[in-house]
Amino acid sequence: MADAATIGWIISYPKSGNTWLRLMLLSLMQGGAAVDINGIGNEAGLANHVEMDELLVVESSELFPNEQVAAQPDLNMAIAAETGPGLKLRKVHDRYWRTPEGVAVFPASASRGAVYLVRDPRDVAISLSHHRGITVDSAIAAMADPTATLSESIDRQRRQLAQPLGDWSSHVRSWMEQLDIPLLLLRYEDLLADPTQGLRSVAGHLGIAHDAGAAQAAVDATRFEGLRAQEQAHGFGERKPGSTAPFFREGSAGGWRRDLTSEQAARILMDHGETMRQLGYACGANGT
Amino acid sequence: MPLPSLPAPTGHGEPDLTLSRGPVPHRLQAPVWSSHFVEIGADGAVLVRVPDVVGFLVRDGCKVILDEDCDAETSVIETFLFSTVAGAVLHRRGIFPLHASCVMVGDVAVALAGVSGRGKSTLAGIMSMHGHDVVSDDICPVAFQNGRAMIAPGPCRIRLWPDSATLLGLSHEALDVGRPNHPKRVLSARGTDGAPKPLGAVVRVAIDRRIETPILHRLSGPSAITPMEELVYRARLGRRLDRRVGLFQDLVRLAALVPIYQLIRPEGSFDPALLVDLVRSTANSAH
Repeated sequence: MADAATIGWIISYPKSGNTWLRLMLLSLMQGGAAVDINGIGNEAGLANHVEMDELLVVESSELFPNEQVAAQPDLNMAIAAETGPGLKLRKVHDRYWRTPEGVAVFPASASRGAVYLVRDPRDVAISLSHHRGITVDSAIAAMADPTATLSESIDRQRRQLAQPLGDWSSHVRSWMEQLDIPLLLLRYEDLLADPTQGLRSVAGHLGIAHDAGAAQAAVDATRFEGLRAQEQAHGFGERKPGSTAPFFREGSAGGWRRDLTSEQAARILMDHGETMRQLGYACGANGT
Repeated sequence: MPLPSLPAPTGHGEPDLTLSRGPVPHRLQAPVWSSHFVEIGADGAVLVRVPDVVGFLVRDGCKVILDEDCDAETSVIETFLFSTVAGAVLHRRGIFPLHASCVMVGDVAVALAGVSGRGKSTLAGIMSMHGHDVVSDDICPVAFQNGRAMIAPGPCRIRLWPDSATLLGLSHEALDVGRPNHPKRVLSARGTDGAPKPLGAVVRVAIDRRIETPILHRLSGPSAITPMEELVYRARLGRRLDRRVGLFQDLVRLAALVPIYQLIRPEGSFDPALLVDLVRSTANSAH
């Protein structure tokens, strides 16, 4: 393993449990200690303009999108080199992508491994609608948009760099099909059913030394009720203004059966059925 | 080469910095450090290059060479000359570059500091619209003289995104172009004369999505000057140009001479006049 291979990418489509998994890992890396939901920030954040400006020495807000894109592989190398050896977790919502010149934005030489957390897109649609303050139908349409991108700077400064998402199916496929970075695919539903087992498999994949007691303590320190209580008491900096629900909203699987109309569920199945079946999201004739 | 953004110099001595067109290498040979945009040579030369747009070579901290093949507009040249290149020159000369936009409040300068994206320029624009002269946007060179921190005025052109222009009640079209076709535009604000201005307060600007009303409080001890990037323009570049110790010493000196505040603002909509009152109050309490 190269010296620069220090980054563990924690990847997901938005609203798929990324924050929960990173909190569990950060707790585990501290022996199962309590975590502050507002303390995770840059420690495991998304690539952002401040990092590009400071690490590459440039005014990124004066650059055009294509100029920023061309620098992103370099930025990820700089992030890996910044604090020397030792695992760095990074949150990722991007699909796996390359610059127009063909350079991988997530360089294999900087990567220790990648974990892709996937969630039933029918639950994602509900969560995304609350997170963005949009209708479920709009969320479903966004999840089918092959050009979907997060944090594009069109008329205002954005904290994060633009992140190409694509549609939900191509997002997960892009990571499953890349061969550059060792990938562990983990279902949110499986993590929810047995968080200790799920956390230990992620820790094993990223080479995080731990024992069973620490894994259990990390799971206990990041239980949904505790995270929600922290948000209620202190707010949460990752909650979008305009959201119609707390960031830690429900923390469960299968809510779509209650909250989606049969037409909405059928629409998601039509858009993503093939990938859903491949991932074991049962898709019978009646959409369940 | 015309640089319309700069205030007229006040002295009559020999220039201590020259800017000229000349040959600039595409890459430095055997750089000691390099990024996508900047390289540092073993001799301390700094190459700043935005690929296919503009290239500068900074030599000895007193000579800036603009790539003779660069055909970019003056406004584009100024965009990078007064940011990354200015930072390289100041670090190379051992002059402390405060990462701040700076306005006059009464007879002192108040620096609005912070990393990119905190709204320094927007706040300077708001202050300008409320009658305060602009000393500099984004970088403030600090000289420590006779027990005071003095700011050398720079370009009083404030670079704004469309949403900031709207907040200031300005139409996007009324602003000058920076980089052609780029959404950021330039407000030519009322500036000061070129004489150094005494720094009365530093206000570190922060954003918190969870609050609805701006909060101002004074910082003390180590929290006033850490993390360094909140106050030092491109601190990593400085550290690589042998300013590791010097920057820290200057920060300590700054904090000893000037009160340092934190202004936390909400992310959503808010009344800009509230921020103006809070910034003004820092200068008043400095007296």
